[in-house]
Amino acid sequence: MGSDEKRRGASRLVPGLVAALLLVPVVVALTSPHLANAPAARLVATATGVLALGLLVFQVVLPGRPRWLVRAAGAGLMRLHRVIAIAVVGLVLAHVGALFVYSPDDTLFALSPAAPAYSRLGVVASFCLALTVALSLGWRRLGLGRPEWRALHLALAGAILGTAFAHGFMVQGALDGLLGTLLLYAGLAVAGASILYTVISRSLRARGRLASRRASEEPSP
Amino acid sequence: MNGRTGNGQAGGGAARRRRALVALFVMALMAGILFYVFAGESGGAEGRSDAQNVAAGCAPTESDPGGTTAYTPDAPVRGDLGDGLVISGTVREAGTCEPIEDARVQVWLATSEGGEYDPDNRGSVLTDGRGRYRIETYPVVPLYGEPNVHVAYDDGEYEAVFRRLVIDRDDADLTTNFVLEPNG
Repeated sequence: MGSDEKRRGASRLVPGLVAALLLVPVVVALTSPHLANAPAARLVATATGVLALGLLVFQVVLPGRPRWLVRAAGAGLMRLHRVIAIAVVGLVLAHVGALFVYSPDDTLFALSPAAPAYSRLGVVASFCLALTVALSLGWRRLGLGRPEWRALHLALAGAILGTAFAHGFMVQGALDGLLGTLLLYAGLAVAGASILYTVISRSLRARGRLASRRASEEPSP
Repeated sequence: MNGRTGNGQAGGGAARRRRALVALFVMALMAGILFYVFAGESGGAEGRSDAQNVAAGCAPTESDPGGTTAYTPDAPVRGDLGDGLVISGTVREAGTCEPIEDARVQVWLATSEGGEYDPDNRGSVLTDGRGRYRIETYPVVPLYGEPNVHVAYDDGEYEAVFRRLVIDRDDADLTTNFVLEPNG
């Protein structure tokens, strides 16, 4: 099979596979007995929250540029990274908005510093997400170099994932039960492995570049 | 050559300062997150038993954060709302420790039958001559992340108190006692 054929095959298969994987936890959550007879606002709040968490996992897979994704998306990987960031922001706003529609009182309490720890974790995850988006738009204006921005972005990504998953694990409700818990662990494992892969592969690439630059600068005998 | 070296050192110094600032910012952010998430208390506990209240001189009961969420004034006095979870306690007057008769205690919670706003999941009950109240409901289910039961005193004779009590969904009883301060 030629490389063009492989690319075409991957570009058809990968989006479908990713979409299916993202939908699994949403379906599990929405069919949970916890949401039996729940009004639409609670269903929307659950679906948007779970989908945002799934997209966050996919988001941290992208910067590692794994081959299967490069084949599917080509040069558009980083554009996809930005589109997903906007989608996650939209989903988080919809999550909070739907909770507010269901119960304004409970939502305002959940957003307050007096709320339980799992609510505060969700608030922190949203704050870190907003900060990441703001910094991604303005890091050059702040005079940051690319290495500093990458370090900052990595720390914020870790904070978003850590707090968002802790929120997901601690909230009792639609993802309770064996399947929901397994999905949360699987998402966390994929996200953690992806961040590690990105850091290691970037470090190896940087070392490779440095070694080849040194080799080219050495005077020939 | 010297000028280039000097600029390079100045540039290296600025880069180091930037890196140090970013590292400081990240550390401050992480410390802020940990403090914000773990410093606060969460979830009201059942609190003191009636005997402990009396022994402690009947200090007034305080409301919990979030105790008023989904509150509706003047919920009708009615019988049990279901079966599976018994909510009970004693209501006393602060200072005198005397039990209060006919104090109105309101209960609301999410159950398998509906949410907190469902009128079938809300009701008031009056205390007897010994200041005791009791109402039975269906077992609580998690809402907004945890199984929480609202129990409030709200008839206006004393300062209102709103409790938000976090229990396990399998719990079959919840005891919460009130010590009320006269209005004033």
